[in-house]
Amino acid sequence: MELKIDRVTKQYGSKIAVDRISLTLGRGVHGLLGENGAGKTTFMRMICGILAPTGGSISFDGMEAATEGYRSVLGYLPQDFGYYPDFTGKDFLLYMAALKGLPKRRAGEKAKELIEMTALKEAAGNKIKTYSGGMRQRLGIAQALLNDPDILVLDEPTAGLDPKERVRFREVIQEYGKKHIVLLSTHIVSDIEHVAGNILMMKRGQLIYRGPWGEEKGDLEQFYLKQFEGGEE
Amino acid sequence: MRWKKKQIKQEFIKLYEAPEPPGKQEFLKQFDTCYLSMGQFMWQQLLYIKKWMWLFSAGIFFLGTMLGRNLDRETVWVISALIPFLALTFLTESGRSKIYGMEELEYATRFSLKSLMLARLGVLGLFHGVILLLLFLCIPQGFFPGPKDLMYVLVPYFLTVSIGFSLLRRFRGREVLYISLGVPAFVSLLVAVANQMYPLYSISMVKFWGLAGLFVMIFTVKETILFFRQTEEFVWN
Repeated sequence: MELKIDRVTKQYGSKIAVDRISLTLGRGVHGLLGENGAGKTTFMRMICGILAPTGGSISFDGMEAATEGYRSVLGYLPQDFGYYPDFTGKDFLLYMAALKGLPKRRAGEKAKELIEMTALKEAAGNKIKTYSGGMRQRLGIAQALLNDPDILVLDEPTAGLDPKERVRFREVIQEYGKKHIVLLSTHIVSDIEHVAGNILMMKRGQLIYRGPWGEEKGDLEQFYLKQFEGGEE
Repeated sequence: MRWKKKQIKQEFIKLYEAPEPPGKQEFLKQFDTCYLSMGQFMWQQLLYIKKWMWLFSAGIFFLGTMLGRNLDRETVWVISALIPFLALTFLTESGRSKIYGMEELEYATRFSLKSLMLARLGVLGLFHGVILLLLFLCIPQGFFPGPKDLMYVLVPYFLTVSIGFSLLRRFRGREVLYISLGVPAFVSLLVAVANQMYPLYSISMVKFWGLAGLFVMIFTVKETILFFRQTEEFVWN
């Protein structure tokens, strides 16, 4: 199980959003850190195959990104996502399951399992528009896990979650990362510190740090803040 | 007697029955590759088209046939002005993902936004095709006597769709909803105003309708290609 990213670049006119990033990700939780505008979301969108890189390539076990095979092993939680107003939480999961190609019966079983896992059982039959921000975020996490993806990409997944939910979320992700590739992006250092075995730090479209973070290296937050001191883009 | 390889193989098949592979089902189960087929996916997507779209389209059809019974050469423009509202449902469905911010999620799924759009718009387009044909046929015989008069129904429909696609590619969010509602109203008004200014439905305008039909078809094909090309990659700024 290997996600291979080879000199991936994304350029918009004269602005380079992601600049020749190369890395190989295996099983585990990989935390992507970077301030707003560092290129994290663009990078993640390219990994999900929804943005075509200007240069370079992305593949998973030989499958090129954006192919049907690649997308079928992918789970994605975008930073902001909408929902159809007439959908209940359960409808939303069944709809996403259909798009992911899950047969009806399996979709139903999986939706039920994830509704329980994300503690949405009571609200599953209610319209999403009545959900709080945290509930919507949990629903987003549930849809990302519907197809048991080999690659799970989460962009700012803890936004809107209360402290208790965040702890629960970390446990789920840590467990999931034991058998799958999880790429988690945030600008909240404490989220990454607790779950990620591998840290990726981005600044102005480039990777400025990669590797595990041990206690011997000091405080990750201090290191992170130091990288971005006076670093307004 | 010399035996060829193929004959030897066939003789062996006759003589020896291949044993059942042990643990075949268990082996297959571990891959869990049970996915929807494209046909099943299309059927499921059909169920996600909103009921009001079918009802609204049917309503336009009934209104059209009712009006058609009492029309004469002077008032036939009413049918042309009504047709853009049939295209309204097509545009609303085309922009639904954008209106509600679902497209990023839909892009990243196995079937992707493109298949989703093709499935839903294909079905809705087919339904509208039947309605347009029936409208054309239901109008009193001799009034729309030949294929050239089919343009009275096709041109307003495809003009609405092509202008709509052209604008939908450039906007997202609530604007998409306004476009889906505004473009049909604009085309309908355009037909009404143009009819007041020129004798559009007289025999002398046959060439105009032919050219308009050709132009609108080319414009529609171009815009449809561009619209579906956009469903292959997420563009957000």
